[in-house]
Amino acid sequence: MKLNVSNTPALMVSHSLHILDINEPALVLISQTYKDVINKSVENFFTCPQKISLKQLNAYVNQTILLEVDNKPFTALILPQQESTFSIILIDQQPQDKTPAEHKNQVIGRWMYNTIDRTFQLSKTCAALLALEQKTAISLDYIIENLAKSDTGQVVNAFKEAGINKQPFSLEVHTKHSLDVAPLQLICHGLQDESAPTLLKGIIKRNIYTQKLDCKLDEQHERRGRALEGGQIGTWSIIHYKNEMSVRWDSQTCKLLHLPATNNHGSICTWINHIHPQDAPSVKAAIEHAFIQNKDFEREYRCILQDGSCIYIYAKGVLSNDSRTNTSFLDGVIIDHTPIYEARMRLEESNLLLEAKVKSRTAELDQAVKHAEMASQSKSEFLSMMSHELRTPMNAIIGALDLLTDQDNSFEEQELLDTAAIAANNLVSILNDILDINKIEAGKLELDCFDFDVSKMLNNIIVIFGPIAEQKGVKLKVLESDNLPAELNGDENRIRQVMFNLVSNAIKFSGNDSSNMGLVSIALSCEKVNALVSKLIFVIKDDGIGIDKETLKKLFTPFTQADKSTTRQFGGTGLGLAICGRLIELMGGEIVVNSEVNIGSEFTVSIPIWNFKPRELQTLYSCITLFSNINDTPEIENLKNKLSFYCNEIIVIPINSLTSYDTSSENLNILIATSMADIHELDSCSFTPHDVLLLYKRDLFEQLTERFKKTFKLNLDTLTFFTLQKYCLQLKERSKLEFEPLQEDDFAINLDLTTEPNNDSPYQLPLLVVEDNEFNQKLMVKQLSRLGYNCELASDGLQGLKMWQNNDYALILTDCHMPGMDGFELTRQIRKFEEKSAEIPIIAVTGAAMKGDQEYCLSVGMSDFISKPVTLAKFKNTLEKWYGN
Amino acid sequence: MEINTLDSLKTLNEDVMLELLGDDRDEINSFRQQFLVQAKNSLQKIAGYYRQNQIKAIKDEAHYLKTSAKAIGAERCAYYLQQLEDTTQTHATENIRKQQCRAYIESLSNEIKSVFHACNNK
Repeated sequence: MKLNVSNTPALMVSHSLHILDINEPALVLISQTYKDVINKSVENFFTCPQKISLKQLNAYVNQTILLEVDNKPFTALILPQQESTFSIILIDQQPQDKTPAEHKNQVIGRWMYNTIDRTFQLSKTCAALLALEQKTAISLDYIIENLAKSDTGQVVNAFKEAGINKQPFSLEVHTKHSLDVAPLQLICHGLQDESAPTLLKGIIKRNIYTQKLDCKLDEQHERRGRALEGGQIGTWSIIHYKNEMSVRWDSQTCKLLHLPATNNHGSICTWINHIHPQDAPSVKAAIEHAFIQNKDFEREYRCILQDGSCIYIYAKGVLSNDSRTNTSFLDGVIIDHTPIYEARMRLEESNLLLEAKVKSRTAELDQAVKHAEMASQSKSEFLSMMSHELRTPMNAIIGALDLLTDQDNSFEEQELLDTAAIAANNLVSILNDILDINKIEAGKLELDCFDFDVSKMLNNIIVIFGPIAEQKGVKLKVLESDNLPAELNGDENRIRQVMFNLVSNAIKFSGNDSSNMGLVSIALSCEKVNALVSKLIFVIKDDGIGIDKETLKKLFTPFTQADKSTTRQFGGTGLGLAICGRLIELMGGEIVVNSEVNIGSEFTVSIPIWNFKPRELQTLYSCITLFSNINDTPEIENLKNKLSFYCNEIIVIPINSLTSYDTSSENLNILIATSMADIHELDSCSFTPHDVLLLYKRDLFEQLTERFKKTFKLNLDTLTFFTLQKYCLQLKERSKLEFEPLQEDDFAINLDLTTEPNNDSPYQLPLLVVEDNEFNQKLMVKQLSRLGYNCELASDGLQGLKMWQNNDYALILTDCHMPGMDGFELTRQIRKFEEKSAEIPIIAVTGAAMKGDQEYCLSVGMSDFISKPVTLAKFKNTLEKWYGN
Repeated sequence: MEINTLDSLKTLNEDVMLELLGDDRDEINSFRQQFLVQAKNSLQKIAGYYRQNQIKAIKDEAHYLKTSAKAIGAERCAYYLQQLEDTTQTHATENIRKQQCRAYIESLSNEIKSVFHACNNK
């Protein structure tokens, strides 16, 4: 077969892709001679973006592929021939500036049009693009039938003209297919070749990217439409141009506002007209504000529908500008918020109801709190009253017992009096506990802090509990750390109260088993927390009955004891530990309890302390000699550490060396007896008993007392800094006194009874006692007389005031609560009369014991305060303080 | 009988201390000095109790000082203290009892002065 396609470059290739024939234009194109190319591989002269293969040729039969010659792209039409050969016609040269991407996005079909019989030959792609099945001899009319009506005119005219002038043209056409939105480009290249003047050639191409994009856009548009419709969201757009605002809105907005679909645009006033008259001005102002300030728009407002009903709208718009046209756009959405608004309204209603309920409940609670406070107040007042009412008779009882004790009583009588006095004091103590817990729970307890000697406080506890423990067969042991401060700032009374309670409990619950003697240890130490704060720690440990876990949990709850049997066996109100717990809490400290049933309990209390004075050296002796057969035991080491504060040197030597010792006032000799063997050794030694200090173990006390009656003795187990210092000072003082000469006049006496007994008293001016209770009057007169004071009586404040105006008194003792004029009013009146003259001391003597009462007394002008029961010692201390001052 | 008893007693019987402590002069003097200090205080207390009519307190104080007086050999002193102690417990009227107490206290005062001189002359 001979290829003869006139001026169009063409070639014929075998199935092995060898060139079988080639025409002249093709040889010119590749710049080769016929013999040079025949039977040569087509790849030697033509390149393809995809490798040329038989498979590819078969795949592109009747279609075009891209071939390059000297880097020039050509569209090549593949036509099948006989015996698996192919004709390749290089139809036209592709524009060089087209990028592969553009090719990629283009689908091109070829056509040839016979202007005589007005029929088309279509390539397969071309037929596909026009949605036709037929490819050959297709009439122009048939083609036109398949195009959109709007395009038919221009296509008919174009081919008519081209049939005459054979000139190229280009049109945009649409097929009838409903999905075929993107236009096709119909291009006529002119004549096929000069030799065939009736054949026009051309292409139809479609940019599939644009089509895809259009499809996507349509899809998105549809989706958006569905979403907006589903969400009942309408869209609108306000265009602002040259101070004019026009609005367009979509069909969904029309639906929302119940408007006809055609009513979808208008001026801003048309838009505003749909808005509730009350909201319209503010919405308009907000839109204008958005344009002026170039800000977005957001508003909630009501719209009036045609039927007169009202819906709630949420509108939001975003502002944009087109600087080219000097136009601004506010594009936004409106959402029907009516259901949300209604829900919100219902919620607000519910909230209002709830608030009303809460208010009502709060009022009820307030009422309940007021009732509770009133009840608490009544309880406090009752306790305060009870305190006063009980203390007044208790005052009489304790005072009377005090006086009776001073009389000449038989042993049995004295025993009964002591019992009654102990019982009365215990009763006052219980009363104090009840008042304390009441004060703590009412938050009225205040700490009264001052500097105090903690070792002295510990010694007071030992003095009180020593005999009690002794009687019960419980051994007391005290351990003070060396770093214990000399003085610390705190509420001594409250700290003592805590320690008192814990030690009392420890003794109470120890040594109850006859086989077990019982041991209670009290350890006192100081621990530094940081540069400013330290902790006072005291640990009270016993080997008593212990506490079970359940009881431990409620140990600090008022009126709680281990169980009822505990109360029956050991007594107590169950208030002690509750008070301790609260007091420690109030002091910012903590209490930790470790206990095991039948093993014992350990209470560790730590209280923060800020201001304290460290113990300083107070050299009383140049040397202290310890005569001891034991050395290096913790007890002796502890003793040496304590003694080192009072001397320069400490020597320890055995007791048998006591035959020679230094008796000078610069030396202190301390004998330590820890066993009977030590006592026997002491018996054989010669020493002056009054210038030594004897330290002993508790079980040797009786033996030593019989032998060394005049010797200062201290229990080694309960030794404190305070006692040690006190005895060292006394021994030092005694050694000095021994050398003080006595005079004969020292033994002269004055027994003169011819004058009034009270004239012996140094207290010449009488006291004025203002007291309404007759018994208390008598008691106070007796007590004051016993102390050497004269006194005169007034039964109430009014009488007291008159007597003070008419007589001269050294001081006034007054009850606070009396009928008529009470003690407070009496004080106010006296202070008023005194004006600038010297104030007479006025001392309140009252059954009230609250701290506030004392402060109140002082606030009205009283000088001091004594709480009942008033013992002789209390009277003595207070009167000595104020008498003559 | 009372006078006879009193006559047989010494203001300061030195043998008593010698028997108790042996021939340690310093120690004996020390004890005597301590007694005088104690006697001075006790005597003033007894006088005070007398003025305040605190009979039981007189008895206790007298009893306390009596033990010390006996220990250093102040026999006459111990005698007056014993008498004073006994008088506080008699069933006599209060007036008589007070008069007796007064007499014994005065005697005691004088006797302690004598002990003071006796001690200083030794």
